[in-house]
Amino acid sequence: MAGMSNTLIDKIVNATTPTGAAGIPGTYTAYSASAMKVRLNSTASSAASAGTEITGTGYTAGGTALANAITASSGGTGVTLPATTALSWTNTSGGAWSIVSFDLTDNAGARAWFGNFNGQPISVANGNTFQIAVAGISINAA
Amino acid sequence: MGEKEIQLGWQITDPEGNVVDSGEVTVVEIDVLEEITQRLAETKGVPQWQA
Repeated sequence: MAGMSNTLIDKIVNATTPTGAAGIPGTYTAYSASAMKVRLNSTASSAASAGTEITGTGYTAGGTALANAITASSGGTGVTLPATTALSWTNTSGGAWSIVSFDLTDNAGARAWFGNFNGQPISVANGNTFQIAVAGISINAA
Repeated sequence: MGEKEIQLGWQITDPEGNVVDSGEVTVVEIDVLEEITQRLAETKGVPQWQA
């Protein structure tokens, strides 16, 4: 299962329907203006809530910030991320990580998109490194 | 030739840098029409226009 969080759905629906005063479009509530993050979970996320975040040395709670801008969607192309550098986590927690899903959030943890990784659950043994390749995640709406 | 091109989405490497596992690109795609239809179907109560 993959898709849009309820947070994102509310932002889009409210800003594009007459939820504002006297029938005007509602106000779009912007995400944090700081770098967005990729959060890793050991269970599946849903529209309503994120999965259980993985823990342990090598992973920072809340996820990893994306350092570079990705190419914007144009004409329905969608987007891919990360942009120019793979995201990388080296597991030194002492046990294996089991990675099922991710959430794309703003810098403060507000959720946007979520999805299960291909091949999940992905077991990352202690000492090994999990990487999301450049363009390893593709996001689109049709 | 003729083989499926697998685009790398993620990989796991050991401390020596050897790839020990990998997977394809994870696609997060929403069919907007299907999503709207599903959410309308989940709506509880009698629609105003039927009341």
